[in-house]
Amino acid sequence: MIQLDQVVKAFDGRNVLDGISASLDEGKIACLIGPSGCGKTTLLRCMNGLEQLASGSIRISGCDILPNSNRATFSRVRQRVGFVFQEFHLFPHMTVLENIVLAPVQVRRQTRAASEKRAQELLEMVGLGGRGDARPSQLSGGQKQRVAIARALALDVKVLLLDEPTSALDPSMRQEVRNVLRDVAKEGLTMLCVTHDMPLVTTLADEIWVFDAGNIVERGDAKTILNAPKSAVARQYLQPSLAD
Amino acid sequence: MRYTWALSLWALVLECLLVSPDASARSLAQIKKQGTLTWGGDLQGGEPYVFENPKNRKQLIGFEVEIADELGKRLGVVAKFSQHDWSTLVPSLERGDFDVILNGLEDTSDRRSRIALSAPYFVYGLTITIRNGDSYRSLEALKGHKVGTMNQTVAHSLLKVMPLEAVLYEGQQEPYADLSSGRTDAVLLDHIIAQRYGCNVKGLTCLSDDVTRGYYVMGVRKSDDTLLVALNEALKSMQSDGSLRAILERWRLWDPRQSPLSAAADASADASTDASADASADAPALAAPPEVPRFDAEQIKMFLKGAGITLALSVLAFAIASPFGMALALTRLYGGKIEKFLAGSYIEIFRGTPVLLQLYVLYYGLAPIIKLDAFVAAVLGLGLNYAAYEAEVHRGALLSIPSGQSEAAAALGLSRWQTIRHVLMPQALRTALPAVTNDFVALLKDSSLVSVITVVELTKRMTIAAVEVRSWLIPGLACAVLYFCLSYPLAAFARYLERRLEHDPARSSGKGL
Repeated sequence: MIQLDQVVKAFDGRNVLDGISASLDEGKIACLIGPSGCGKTTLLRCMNGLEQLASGSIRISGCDILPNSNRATFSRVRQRVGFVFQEFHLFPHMTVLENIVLAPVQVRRQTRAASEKRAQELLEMVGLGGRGDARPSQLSGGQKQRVAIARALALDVKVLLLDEPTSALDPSMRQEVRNVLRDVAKEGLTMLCVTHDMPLVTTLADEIWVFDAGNIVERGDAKTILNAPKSAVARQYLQPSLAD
Repeated sequence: MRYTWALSLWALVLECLLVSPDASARSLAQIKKQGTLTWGGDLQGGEPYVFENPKNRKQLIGFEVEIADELGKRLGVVAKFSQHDWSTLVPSLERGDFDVILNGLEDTSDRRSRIALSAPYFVYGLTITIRNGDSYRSLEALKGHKVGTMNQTVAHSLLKVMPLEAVLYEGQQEPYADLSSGRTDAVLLDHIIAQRYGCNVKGLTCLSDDVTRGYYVMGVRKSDDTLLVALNEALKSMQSDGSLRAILERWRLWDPRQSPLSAAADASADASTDASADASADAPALAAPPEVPRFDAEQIKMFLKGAGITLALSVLAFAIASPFGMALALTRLYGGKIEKFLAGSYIEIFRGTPVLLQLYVLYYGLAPIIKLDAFVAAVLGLGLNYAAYEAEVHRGALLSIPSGQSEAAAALGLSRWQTIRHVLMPQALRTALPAVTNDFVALLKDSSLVSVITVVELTKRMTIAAVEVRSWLIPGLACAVLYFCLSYPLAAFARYLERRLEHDPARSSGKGL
């Protein structure tokens, strides 16, 4: 489902992604962990064209992303790959429902009625049935992130990319988002989730990819790595947080 | 001679810009065929030239109206008045807006070099007005002192070359008000103006000797030589059968100064008896104008009409400025290299040059290519100018939207245009609302500039009325109240909108980015 081959991305001459190769099977969930600034988020953004590759290639949901890929490619990718931002980025001038139906109506040219029906189902799924007419400003952070998740799923994507979905939330709201993501995982989506939230990792992950300085230093089955991390980074990173 | 409300500087710029006589000028034959002789003037000159009848606003009266009608009769056509700012009469004539200038146009060599001038229909004398008790008796005696006069007059060109300080005014009344209050030491203006606005003011005296005399003449395009000949013939016949004199007498303008205009030389006896009967040259007070009209309900009706024009003008201009400004802002931000450059150039050029100049160029400068209707030119001129300002307001508002918004839209697969249309523009409009309201209120007031291209809106209406009723206070207050009545509800509505928008959406997402 996702295939990374020698992915390189540079900012100001420094390689943020230093030739990353990895793959993820359909329906699997990988959590990307590692110190801040090690390239996890950048990799995620490369996978739906928010950043352009310097070299290498990404195959995701049947689309090939190359260094010279254009908007047409990204447009195809984005219709199959959902993205959830750390800061939600809901559209403040629209209601919750309008946020969710925007892409189906504008991008997919679905009818409004059909889009709204699907949006209501998604809102039920994230536990916000009946809040469709609310404005983002009337929601708590956790509710906003749940709407953002519903919005990302509205195009019936096969892959969901999540960039630290719980980091901007206070601890009390994190759990509601974790629960929603656990439910979403049951739908059989392939998911790639950058996070520092260890309870989320234990809830979701089939695999863990450990990053350091633009490279994957350790990659494998979640339980194995959580129980016996091999790399220094993973040990340093996982052990104290397990007490969390 | 007279009042000019437009800045004379721009009139000067115009002179340089527009020395292209209009090729489509109507010949005498065409005038006769159409049956109308259109003559240009400015109602703001007021009594006794051409002005609205205080008893019937739809009717124009004045000695120039009667001369025009009489000339028309003799040419076998109907005379039709065309309103223009006095300072723009010559360019408007060249533009082809009317056939002849008949509005206190003095015979000067400068004018002669530009347009063709007719025989005189009135003799003016430049009159010195001083405060009672002062001892100045001539222009020479005023050396080193302050002398008030009006811009673009023969009096002004006379004062310019003297070793004294000329103080310039745009209206007829202000020079005398400043003389009364001691800001100046004398006023030099045509006797018609002096008699109506100066000599009868308490504490002021007019000197009996004219500094110099000159003629009011008609002006036509140089190419219209047949028209000029016909006008001169008609004027001559009016002179010899005494109808010109009758008109001037009716308006109490006949005095010994006019003897060159009497029924040729044979009427010298008449002229002398007349001089004794009507010694107004020596005793100006006798030629006092008829009763000054009051600021009445009719005036208010005209003011409301002016306000309506101001409002229509502003709303239509803004209806151009706002969307066009948004388009410019979007182009400047998201367009290709060339588009960005073009949008940027447009904005800088239209912001960087005076709107008054733009109006002149649009109306007079483009006339040989496209002859825009005055109102259309006014709407376009203001709209295109304000678009540049709106563009920057909208650009600022677009830039203030957190970058996460367009990223989120992109991640959902929206195209760039869909992102702009559904995500960026609606948010930018909200942010821009206070600044946009502000600009609309500014436009409402800037719209008074369009009087230079002959549109009579609220401010021009006020200046016409002020001259008519000899007071700036009441018309000025009425004008101010009307402007306020137009702008305040709008500002209040905008604040209401802002409050409403504040109340629901706010900036929910833009915490980080």
